[in-house]
Amino acid sequence: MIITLILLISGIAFFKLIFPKLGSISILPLALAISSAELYFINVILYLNTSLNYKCIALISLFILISQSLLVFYYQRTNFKHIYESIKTYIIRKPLIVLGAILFYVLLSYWTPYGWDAITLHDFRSNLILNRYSFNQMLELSSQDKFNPTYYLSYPPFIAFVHAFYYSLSSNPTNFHLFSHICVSLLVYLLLRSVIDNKFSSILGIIYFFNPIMIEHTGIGYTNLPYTYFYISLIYFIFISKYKLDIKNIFIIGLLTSVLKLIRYTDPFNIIPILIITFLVKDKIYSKTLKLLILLLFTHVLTLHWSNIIKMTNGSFLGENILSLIIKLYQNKSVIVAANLIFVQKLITHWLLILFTIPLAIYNLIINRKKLILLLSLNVLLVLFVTYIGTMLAIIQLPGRPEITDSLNRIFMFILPITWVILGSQLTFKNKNI
Amino acid sequence: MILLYLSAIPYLIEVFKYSGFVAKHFIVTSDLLTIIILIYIINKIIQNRLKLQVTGIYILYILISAFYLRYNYLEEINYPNFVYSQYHLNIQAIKNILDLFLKIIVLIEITKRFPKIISYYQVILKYIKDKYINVNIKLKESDKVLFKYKYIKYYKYLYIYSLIIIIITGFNWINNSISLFSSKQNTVLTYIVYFREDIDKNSYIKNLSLGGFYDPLRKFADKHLYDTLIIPNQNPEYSFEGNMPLIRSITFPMKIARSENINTSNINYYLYTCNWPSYNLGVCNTELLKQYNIGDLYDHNTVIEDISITDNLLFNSKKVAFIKL
Repeated sequence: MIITLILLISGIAFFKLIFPKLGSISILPLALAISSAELYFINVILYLNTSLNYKCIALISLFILISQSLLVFYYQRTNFKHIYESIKTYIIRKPLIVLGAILFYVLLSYWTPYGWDAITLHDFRSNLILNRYSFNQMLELSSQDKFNPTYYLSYPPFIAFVHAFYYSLSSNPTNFHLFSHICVSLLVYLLLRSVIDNKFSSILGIIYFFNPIMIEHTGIGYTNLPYTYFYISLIYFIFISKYKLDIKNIFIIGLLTSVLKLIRYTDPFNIIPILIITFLVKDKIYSKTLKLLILLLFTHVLTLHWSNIIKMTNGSFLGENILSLIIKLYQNKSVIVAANLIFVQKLITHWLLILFTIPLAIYNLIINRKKLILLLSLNVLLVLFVTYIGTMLAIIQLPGRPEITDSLNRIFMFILPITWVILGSQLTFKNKNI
Repeated sequence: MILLYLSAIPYLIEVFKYSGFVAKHFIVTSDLLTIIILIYIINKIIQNRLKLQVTGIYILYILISAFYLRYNYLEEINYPNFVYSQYHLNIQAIKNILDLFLKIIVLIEITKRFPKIISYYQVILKYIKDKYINVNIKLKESDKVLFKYKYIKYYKYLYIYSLIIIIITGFNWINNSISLFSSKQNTVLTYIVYFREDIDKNSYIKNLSLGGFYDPLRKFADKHLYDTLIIPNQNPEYSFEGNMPLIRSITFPMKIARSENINTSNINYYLYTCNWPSYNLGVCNTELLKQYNIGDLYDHNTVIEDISITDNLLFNSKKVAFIKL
């Protein structure tokens, strides 16, 4: 609890350093993403270049975060008394809501992560990090173990480092997952507030918070919930920055996209926001291409330490040439039929909500509504397109993989808040919104 | 107002009789009956705009939940199905009543706090009544800019379409998440029982899906480092005990081997479960375990070291220890 609060405050400080004009409420849901990304890169730099004990690294990074926030708040002269009194009055006025929130918190963050994949994959890797194993040693371990070699280095290390940070300071890493879910529901509220009525958007945000899939994932501790959080915070940041590509904006967009790559390496959905930027940003062609090239180079540099390791292992999904895969697809057409069937079946059984939003998204594309809704509806359609191709490729590369009951269910999870915002945005009567 | 309390009657009958009593005598199941009554009530509330007093339901909710917790506690202490055998009460039906009251409270609180919902609901009702006539959604004069666009005339249909989807999915989500929370409440209660009462702890901790499983193992792993551990092959019987990656993630620096691939030079620790290993372990049978005071399981005392087994061929002159789960 205390550590997540420190992360949130330091994130707000980091944001206020770069964008001093933005209000604190609109920053708050982005703060955890930015601060955890900062924490990860500090950790990795210290982990790869020094031979310090991990607890030492965690303490150094905590010190950096706290000192940064203190410095920023000291120079900007923020009124802590004002914030403190507002919280105090809220607790006195509405004690029942505060008590209920505490009860929810206790119920949801009691256990350490209990999902099977979480325990065996990234939570286990956090154990390795705490015992100070280098990446090369992990590779050696995976080569030694005959029975299951993929469990040492299959997922990227972002969530593992976050878990290790929490464990080393003797607290529970499900806090991170829970707060990321709260931040997503806040983001849903903020996105809806710019389109429809304030009260109705707050109701939709509350209903989104009680979404059972996400609440279950807070306890399980898979990588999918942080993935949704970072994805939607990226889209929200594009919306806040008013579709401009300054150096500051490029820095934060690059940071978030690289983190998306570091959470789930095989999911190529981090391309989609960059594709959408190319449509929506109004700029001269030369400057736009230059900026995009800078963005791509920046993300490439930030993810270099992981892509070097991926080259060493042969277990990566996109190890083969994609062209040869497509040729294989056209050779046996029965596979295509099977893939289509599986895709449609999964959509109907698990994601009826996405199916219902497709006509709305197409309608929003036909009449040019607000740019935000155009962005979201483009997102839904592109994600569907990419996953459709992905199931085709996966059926050849890893037969049996798309038939896993929960896999596609979890892959689609990050569109859920976007569909909720699109559905809610239809409830407008006001002129300014269209 | 009284109707709200009456909606709990089908469950209340089942509390004193048995689950499925209503379905047997009245054809309709109790869940469906309550839903029908609830829909009727909501319709009345919205049409008449009654100002409801929900304090009675709050008090009833607290009282019934206290009873519910008490009965659950009794069942945890004694044995499953204890309450039905002693007091002839169904616990599941009590839980259903609690869920129903929670739903009512949430619904009424939302309609109180956000009265705009009622007006949105009335729009839908109008649409259903005048199905074949164009609906005139009230627009301000400034909003008539909407009709500049060609396709904007379809907008109202999409409006109602999205509203219906939102209501249905929202109701579904809240309904499912309430049941999820109530399941978590039970696990916390079992933990309270575990801390307060001094009873047979094995059965309780096994119920807590994984949380109970890896606590003793982790304690064991903190004490003893750099050894091998043997586990049974994974079966439906030993789904957790035979799970190799899971146990390795808990007791990491140890090496883990299956009983198939026994390399006698590396054996130091042996994961001992209720029925496994089925083959003869020589001297180490249950009587020997009793000699070394392994009655208090799930403690540090469970691990025995320095037992030399002479009779067995497999573990000849090797140090073997047991962890019982």
